[in-house]
Amino acid sequence: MNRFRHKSILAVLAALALVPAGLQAQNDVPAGIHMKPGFNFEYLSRTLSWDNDAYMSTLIMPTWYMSLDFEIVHGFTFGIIGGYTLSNFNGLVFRQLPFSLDYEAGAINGFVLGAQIQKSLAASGFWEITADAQFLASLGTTKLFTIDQLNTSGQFDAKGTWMHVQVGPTVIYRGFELFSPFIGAAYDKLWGTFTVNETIGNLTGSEAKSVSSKGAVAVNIGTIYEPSPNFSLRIAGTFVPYSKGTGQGLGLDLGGTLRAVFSF
Amino acid sequence: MTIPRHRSARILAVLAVGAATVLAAASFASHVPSAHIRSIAARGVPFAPTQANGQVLVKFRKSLPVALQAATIVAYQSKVVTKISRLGVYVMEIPADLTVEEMVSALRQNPDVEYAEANVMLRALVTPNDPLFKYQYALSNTGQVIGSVPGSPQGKATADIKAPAAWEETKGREDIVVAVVDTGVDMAHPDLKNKIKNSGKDFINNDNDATDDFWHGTMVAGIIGAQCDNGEGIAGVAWNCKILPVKVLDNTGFGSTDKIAAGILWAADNGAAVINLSLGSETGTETLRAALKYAYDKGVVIVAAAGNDGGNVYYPAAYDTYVLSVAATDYNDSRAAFSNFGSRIDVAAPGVRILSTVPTWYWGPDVLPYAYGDGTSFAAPYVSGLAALIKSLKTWLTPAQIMDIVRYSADDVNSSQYLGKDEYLGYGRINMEKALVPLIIQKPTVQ
Repeated sequence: MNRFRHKSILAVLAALALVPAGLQAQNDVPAGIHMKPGFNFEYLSRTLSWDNDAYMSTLIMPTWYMSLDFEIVHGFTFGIIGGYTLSNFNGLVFRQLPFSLDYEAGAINGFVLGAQIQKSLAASGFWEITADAQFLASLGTTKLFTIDQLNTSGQFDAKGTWMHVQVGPTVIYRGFELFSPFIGAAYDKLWGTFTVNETIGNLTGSEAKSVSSKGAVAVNIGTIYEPSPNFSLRIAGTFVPYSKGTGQGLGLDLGGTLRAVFSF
Repeated sequence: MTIPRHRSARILAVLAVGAATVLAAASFASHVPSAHIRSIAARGVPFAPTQANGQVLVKFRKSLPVALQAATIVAYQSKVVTKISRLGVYVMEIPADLTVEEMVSALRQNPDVEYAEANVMLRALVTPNDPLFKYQYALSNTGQVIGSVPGSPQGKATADIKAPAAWEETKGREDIVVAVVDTGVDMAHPDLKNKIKNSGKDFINNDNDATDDFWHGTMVAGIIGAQCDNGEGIAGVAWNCKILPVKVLDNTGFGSTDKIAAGILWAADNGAAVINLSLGSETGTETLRAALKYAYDKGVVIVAAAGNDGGNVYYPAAYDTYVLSVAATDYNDSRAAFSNFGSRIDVAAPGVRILSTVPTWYWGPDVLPYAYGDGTSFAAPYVSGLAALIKSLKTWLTPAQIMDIVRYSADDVNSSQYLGKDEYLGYGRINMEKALVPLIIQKPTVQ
């Protein structure tokens, strides 16, 4: 993740937060902070590149988290996130260790922290445009493995961390009574590090591999189901195209989100 | 192809005090005629997973109507990717929350399923097109007959050092140099001429032309680094690495300690990453030990033959700290009877009926310059070649680390008699694949 990208994300988040209240699309509702706790499941799957784009593998991260959104003014919501994730870094190969390792041992659990912002930008008739941003950070736990292919016993420990950011506009159609379908496009990036420490007999080694998602633009399609003013259910599918490499065509990462949000 | 038996001579050299001898109980069982046999060369492919991601192959019994077969797959919440019509096999994509193993297990419980299995990925194996490669059982043993004359022995499949699989990971680097400190090397040999770093150093005749006037060093060099994939002769272990000839033994295979020590020092000072010493004596000397320490401290991996008289490990192989000591196995992964033994044996490598290069003048005209030989002299070069490939792949490793990788990755082929490290084969017969190819970690076994 280069410095320019960090700055771009921060700029977008700041811009969303600083949009003057007078420009808000809907500002005729009672003032006061509304709390919106939510239960969320998000299935993230991203194709990663590593070792200077020489290799690719897939990181799969089913994530469960609770969110607590604060609607500070109508049309502007800021939320914090905390939860649990299983991060599957299968396919990473570590060649800087005394004995190279091909990690295929499945998911490692970890905690997730994050924040999200939604800002209503404009509304006309049944249509509304919002700006959405979400940041998730997974703090992985360390897992220990044995190496049993050699004539000398060995083991290694592994820990994966990742961060995911998605920022972009969403168009919502509010012409139906209970359902509000939406479509959005977003800058979508995932990056992280997977660290292994190897010990085999007299040999020790450590390698931290930086990974980054191949795709950068996500399309989110879904619907919001609002049976009452105090409850909404949001279901979305995420599609992230990426280049497989020169002359290799395009691949597509798929994801999905299920959010149940209560409003007080 | 026929291989006439012209001569058979076993050379057993034992060093007198103050001299070194070539550790080759060389059995020149046959020479090789000029017929060339070309095989199809398969190129390496980049790393691939062991099974296609999330895909299972399934074949239904004929009792299940075709119309219901695809529906059955859908019932498993899976999608049909394609169907191999001639085989009646479906390729199905399984749900992301299931593993391939789980889906295969579930399908196998269905009485309508004839079989279900993972869509396993296969890979092209690197096989050089050198026509005599098929006789190099040490690199790849398929259970082939080793030679074409009647009575040629037949090896046991997999009793080899797994070279083709390892070459997929690395074929070595040209800037990694293996010094053959021996009788010199025939630098005009067609399978070696492109692999020689320079004309080396001759400490016998005090010049800069380490041409082989015996045969032993040329055989050693061929095992380590004969040119691969050139449609000619044999394949060396260290596909791309270079050979540095250093002549310290005379035209009878003998050399004094001072010459050998000088050769070791010169090799260490002239870019050798690995030094092969297929020579030895029952007696150690402080001079030789000091020369080895100098090279080791300069980052050179030193490999030495254990000896061929069935006795104690010879020197310099017995200098445990600085040297990998190599015993010999045969085409059945059994210990060669002549191979010396003792606690200082580190590993073993094939050393019986080893096909390699000999000087172009050796057999005379119209006969290919290759021969079979026996001895730990011809086991040690396999280890030197492996060390060179490890160094090529991981240039930052120290000699001690490379030595441990060679040791730990060896197959304990005599474990039924001697479990673990033993006096006969040390840690076992080397395994290039385990040493070089990433180990696949599939299950967490410690929480």
